[in-house]
Amino acid sequence: MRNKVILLAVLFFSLGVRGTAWATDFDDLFGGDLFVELEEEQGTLPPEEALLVQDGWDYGGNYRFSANASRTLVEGADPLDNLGVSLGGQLYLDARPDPNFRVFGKLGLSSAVNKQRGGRANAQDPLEISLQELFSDFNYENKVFFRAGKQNVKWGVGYFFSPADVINIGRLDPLDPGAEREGPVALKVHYPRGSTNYYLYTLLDDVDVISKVALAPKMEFVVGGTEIGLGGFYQKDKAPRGMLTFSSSLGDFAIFGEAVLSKGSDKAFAGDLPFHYPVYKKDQLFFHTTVGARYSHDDPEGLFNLTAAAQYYFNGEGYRKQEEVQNLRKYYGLLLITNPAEAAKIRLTDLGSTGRHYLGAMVGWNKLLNTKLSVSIFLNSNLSDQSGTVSATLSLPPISKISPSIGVAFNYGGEATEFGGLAKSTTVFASVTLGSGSF
Amino acid sequence: MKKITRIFVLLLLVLAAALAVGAQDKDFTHIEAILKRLDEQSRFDRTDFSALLTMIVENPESGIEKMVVRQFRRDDGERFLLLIQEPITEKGQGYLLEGDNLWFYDPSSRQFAHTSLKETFQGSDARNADFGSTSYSDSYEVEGYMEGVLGSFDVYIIDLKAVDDTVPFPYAKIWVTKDSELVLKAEEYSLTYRLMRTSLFPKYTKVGDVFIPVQLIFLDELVEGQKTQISVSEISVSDIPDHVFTKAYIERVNR
Repeated sequence: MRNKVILLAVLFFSLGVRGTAWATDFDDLFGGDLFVELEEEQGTLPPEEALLVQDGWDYGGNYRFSANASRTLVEGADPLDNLGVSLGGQLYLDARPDPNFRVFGKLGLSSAVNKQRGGRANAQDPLEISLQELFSDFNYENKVFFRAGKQNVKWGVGYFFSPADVINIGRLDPLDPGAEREGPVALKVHYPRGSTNYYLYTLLDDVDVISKVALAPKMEFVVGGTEIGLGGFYQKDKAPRGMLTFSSSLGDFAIFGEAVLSKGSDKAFAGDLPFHYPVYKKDQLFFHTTVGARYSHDDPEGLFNLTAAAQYYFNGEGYRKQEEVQNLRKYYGLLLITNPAEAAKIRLTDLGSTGRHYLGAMVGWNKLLNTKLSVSIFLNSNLSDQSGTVSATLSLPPISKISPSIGVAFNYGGEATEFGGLAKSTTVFASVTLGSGSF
Repeated sequence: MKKITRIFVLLLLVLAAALAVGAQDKDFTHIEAILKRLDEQSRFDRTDFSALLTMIVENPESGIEKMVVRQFRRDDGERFLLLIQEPITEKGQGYLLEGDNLWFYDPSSRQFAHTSLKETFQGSDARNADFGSTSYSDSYEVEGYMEGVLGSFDVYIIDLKAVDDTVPFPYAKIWVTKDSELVLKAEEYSLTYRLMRTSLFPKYTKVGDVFIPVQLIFLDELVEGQKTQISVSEISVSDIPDHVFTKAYIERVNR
């Protein structure tokens, strides 16, 4: 028999606190009875089960409509003006027939209008609909929990870079680390035991024979105030990996780190000469590590509401001699003009993440000096070839559901470097989101 | 020489008397006993606890915001789970406490992140630590006290100093009723003894052997007009299944 105690409905309207004009005369608050009478109610669904069932089903989503006008200044070329209009959102359906079973699906919708002065005509992109998630949740006696289907997965703790994350299909974007990433089709088995969590992912993307099914076990446990993760990844014909992660706090800083050891690499490398591509390194050990920190400061006067994050990444798959990959990029650029079919044989993923050392950083200043302005600056830098990208955005005061912002983004680096490779460019932009929000 | 000796002895006697008076002043045994009993009667050691919290956050700039939070609490093991139900833009965000570890769950990224009990809760004037069990006797030492009156209640006004960094502020002053030994008011101070926050607990209810405040008011003393009121309803002391205090449960209830 469940004993549930419900407060009398009138309780909080008769406490001497009238509306929101709360009494500041404290003696008034403490003039009457200190204790409140309660009445008991029995027989309703326990709250923990009620939350699992909710209303049986639910739907919702979000809507976004934005316009971005920009001028890009490229070295040695005329300025390029652009107006991009983006229309889209997400729709979800959450069905919960009983506390032990539910099905969740989420669709992404997007449509864009691009207008480029002096060149292309207006072009209306067709509506794109993508399946972002579709999975079911069920469990074995509320001890082992299963999630089966296409799902977003939390794997790795890095903010700008996450070498441990070989599970998600979408990669982390250091200039937009909070963006939702596409997850895999998988069966997730989760066994929580105290503060320790055991996971096993069976990954099924692009699998046509059972021997190609990928397995990724992981355990998370707590030591003092630090959460440690140990995991692995195995798939036939891919580099097996072991990983260690940690997340903790040091004073006012949240700190995190990852270390990954893999036998071989899934990338193809350039040799001493660019046309030696692809060179495979299947037996070499590769080590990756990253460490970073996040900090938030919220002063009482509201003048300096700051958030900051920085992360260093050592990429064991990066080139010791940057000239090798720079030569490959130049070769690729040449092939694009002279022999596109041959150029298509070079995977673009092999031309990215080629440095040994990276730095990601972000500073956000919300409600600048207690105004309605906010500013954020992102940096993504390949320290090995001294190239990078910087983006700064100033959010202006919103008017109703109209949120304007202005900003500048530029890249730097020499010829054929990772971020400065094509040409140095600076883009100034003004954006506005109109009537966007969740429902 | 005799005179000097007499003066010296007199000084020693005065010093001894002063020390004796000081020692008497510093004998806070009965206050410490009150803090212990106060802690005991606010802990759910034999039962679990769940409730619905309705929070009204009043910000002089952004206006009034309502939040609804489902709370599950198990003091044995220092656990709690807070799940935000309203507003819809924050629905599904959760806080899971396990001993010294507190995780924040963001449903949009499906990520758990370590956070601190000292942090403010969702931009309100409540702190994460306000939702778990409190232990005045373990976290503070008594620095002094006096007797007084608050409203119609005779109270002890007790000055406290934090003995570790587990509490948000290093100094506190609490108003404790003499008869029922309940905290009616608390003031928290910074290291420079600046008043940071005032908390008021004007209504209590008794659930089993435990007294809990059912109305909580937090005033930000640094921002005029900034305050948060929490009303507690749908209280239950029934057993909560173990699986509720897990990351798996937070993921299941979320979209």
